[in-house]
Amino acid sequence: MLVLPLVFGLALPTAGRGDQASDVVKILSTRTLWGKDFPAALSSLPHWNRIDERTVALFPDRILGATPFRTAEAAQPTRVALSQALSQTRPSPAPAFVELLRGLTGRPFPFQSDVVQSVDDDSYRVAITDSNLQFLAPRLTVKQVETGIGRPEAVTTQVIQSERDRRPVALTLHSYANGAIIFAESDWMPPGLIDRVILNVPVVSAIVFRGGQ
Amino acid sequence: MRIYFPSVGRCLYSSRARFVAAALVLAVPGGASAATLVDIATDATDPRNLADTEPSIAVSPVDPTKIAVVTFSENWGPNAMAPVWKSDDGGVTWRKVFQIPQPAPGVFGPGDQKIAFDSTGKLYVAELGSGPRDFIYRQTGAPDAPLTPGVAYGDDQPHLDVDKTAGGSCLNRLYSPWLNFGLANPRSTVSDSINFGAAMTDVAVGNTAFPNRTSRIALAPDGKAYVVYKTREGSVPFSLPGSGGSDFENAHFNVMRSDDCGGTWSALGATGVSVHGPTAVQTLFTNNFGNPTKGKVARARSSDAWIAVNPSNGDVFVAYVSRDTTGFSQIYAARSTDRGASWTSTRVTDGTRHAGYPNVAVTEDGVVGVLYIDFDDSGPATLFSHRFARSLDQGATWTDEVLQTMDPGPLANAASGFLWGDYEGLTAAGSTFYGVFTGRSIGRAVAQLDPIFFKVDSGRQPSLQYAVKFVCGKPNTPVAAPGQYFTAINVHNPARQPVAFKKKIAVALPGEKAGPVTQFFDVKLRPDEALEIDCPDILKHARARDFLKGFVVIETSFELDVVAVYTAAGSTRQVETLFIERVPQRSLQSGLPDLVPVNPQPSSGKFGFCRRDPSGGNLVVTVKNQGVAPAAASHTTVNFAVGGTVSPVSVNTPMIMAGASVDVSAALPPGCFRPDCSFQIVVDAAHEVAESDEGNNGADGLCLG
Repeated sequence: MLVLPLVFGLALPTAGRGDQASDVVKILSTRTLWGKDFPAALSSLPHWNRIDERTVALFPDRILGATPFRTAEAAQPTRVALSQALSQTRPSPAPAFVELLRGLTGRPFPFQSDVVQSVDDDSYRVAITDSNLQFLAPRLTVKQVETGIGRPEAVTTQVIQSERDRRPVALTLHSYANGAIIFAESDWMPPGLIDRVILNVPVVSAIVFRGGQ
Repeated sequence: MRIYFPSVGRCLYSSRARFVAAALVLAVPGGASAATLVDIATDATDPRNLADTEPSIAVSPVDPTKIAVVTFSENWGPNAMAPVWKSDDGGVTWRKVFQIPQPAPGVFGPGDQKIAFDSTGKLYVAELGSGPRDFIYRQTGAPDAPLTPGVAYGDDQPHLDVDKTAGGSCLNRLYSPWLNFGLANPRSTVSDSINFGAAMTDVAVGNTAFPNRTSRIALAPDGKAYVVYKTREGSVPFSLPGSGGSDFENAHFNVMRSDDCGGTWSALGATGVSVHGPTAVQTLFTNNFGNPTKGKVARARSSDAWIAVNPSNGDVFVAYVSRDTTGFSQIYAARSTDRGASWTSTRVTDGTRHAGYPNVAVTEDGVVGVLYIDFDDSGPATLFSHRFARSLDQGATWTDEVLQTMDPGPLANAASGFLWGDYEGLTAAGSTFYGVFTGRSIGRAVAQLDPIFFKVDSGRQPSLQYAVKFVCGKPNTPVAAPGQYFTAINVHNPARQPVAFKKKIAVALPGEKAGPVTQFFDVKLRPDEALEIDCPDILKHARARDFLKGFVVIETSFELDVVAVYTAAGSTRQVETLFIERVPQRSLQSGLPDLVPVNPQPSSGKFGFCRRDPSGGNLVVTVKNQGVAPAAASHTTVNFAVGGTVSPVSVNTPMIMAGASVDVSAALPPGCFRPDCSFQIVVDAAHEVAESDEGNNGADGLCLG
């Protein structure tokens, strides 16, 4: 691993913890949080699951896997595996997501896999990216998130070290659904702006799709 | 909010030190050698409670009351500028000036930063943006107007300095060292600019055989430029407490020199000179500075070296980290008196705790200051102390004080893994050190990390005083004959080196009343320069308008020519009297000097006195005046044992001010090494100086053959 995340935080006593599945459904169904291509991001989760990626980060225009690679070449086998997974059929969506994923059901995944360099730690990551993608609502803010789905269960801090000496990226993590969905601010971005949403792939995938995928 | 911390001896453990400090704050606020701490941020200027990490500081050479600091405070963006903290009153109060715009669309930051002034007081900032690319921001308008970004250059951790030597061949040359990560072995590189960053020229330095790191720069008064960098030579299987992994690596700290304004850097050889000799030292390379089982920890990977030059004589100092026989990472200071060719190291810290993050600066009166951080994990939580050490004898001996001790655990904006950043800020102007560290806030509604400014005098007591009578203006009451009075005080530096002195105004009131006394104002004169202190200056400093009498008091450690010219005009408004007086000096010190030979490496016993110059043909002897009065010129004799007889070599030793040291060289006689060379050093061998202790003038030394 290239990164050594260090997490310190404070659980918010006002945040109630409900049923994880219903919380996930509520969050993913709150349309004000997501961009036009968010259904495609959701539909990719079984494929990420298939290559054993446990976590993905949704940026406004890309999805990044959590596994870091030292070089672009080292990431290529995983990218190929994801590409192959993306060409396979996906399980059917759970009833709560049938409508959301209707346009994608039974069709090939519409976007290509790629390898990109992470601005966090300079590592290489397998990604789904395109300049026209819009996974998150434009300029999504913490305030919008809290308006839509309430206060987070916990707010923590994660410092991501790179091998360089620049200021490390410090993420403020707003956790929901027992940590299955995390809205993250970056201290390199304007304050209050959501930089990325981190999804627990197995948990969210199992809720969104039938058959525990 | 300001608080005053008196000096605390290094032997105090931090928990006790905090108590003692608090108690002494109440007992003797503003003690003579205290550092003044000021929280730069306030609830008004830092409403989002940012951590304000990795601070850098610069003091205007034109007006030392103008100070600038950059920290990681707020980002630039498409519609936002990053800030510079500024003080216009010597650090008492601070403004947050947003003047660092986004350098180019899509470039986010700051990611690293360093700040400097040029000789005219214009501000420059080196910034790292995403990409990664560096940019020099230069002042092209009013002081608080948006700065102008220059060309994109460089890579990681850009640093910065600007040559300020008037009349020098490299005046206004801007230097920015950085680390090139685009190579298999990251390499130290220095970019220079003749137009303050509008265009940059990259020159690779460092050593390609190893990965480089920690590239820092210092500029000498003779126009020479120095960089220190480290070569990373493999990890060491030693852990900091609670860490479990390797937190140290073998390294050399090397100094390279440029004699041609940054064009080439090979004046000390292709890869420079190791400041600690050929043997590698063990230095920090960790994300776990502290004890991770007892709280938050800090990153210390390029937090192990800094370089500075004595602005008066060009001596070069490097502060570096070395884990020594104590088992602790310690701060060492290496000094070179021959422009980087050879070095002598002494330990700054006391060997009882892990220490890192050294910054070094040198005042114009030759006092060396080192800012560093250590930690104490003996209690339930790790306590980090920001400390400041001073040496009045060119690094031979050190005293230090705790600036602040803190547990970052409860501070919400203290991000474990980074805390204060890779380095902190220290500089010197006149006889004053100015520093900034990221520490526990003072007087904030929410306790947090904040940039903490401190200012401390060099501690060298001036030995000479000139009290010059002045009469200025037109009296409205009959305390002097009717007319217009003028005083012009001329001050000349007769020495061959720059001289720093300070002046204040003591106002004399009629009716046998004592008037106010101003603070001291720092002044500097280069060799053979002169200046005049006249009535408008005096009235301005004294904040007076009309008639004023009193004394201008000048204090210095060096002899000056001080001449007062008094003129007066009567009703014709033409000069009617002219009087010129050469003002005699007064010694401020009572008592006697005390000359001693200094062992630069006391732990080596008599071998410690074996210090040879680069040629190997001369023995270098340090003579210190540890007394309280200046020592007149004298002679030092080294009695070498040659073939069963004594071969004395006598060398001239110049006048030495109280607390100061000089190096003298004695030629090694042929045949001394048989195979070893033993010798005896005798200072004031001809008994030319009356000393307080005449029994400590000798020492025995031995050089192995």
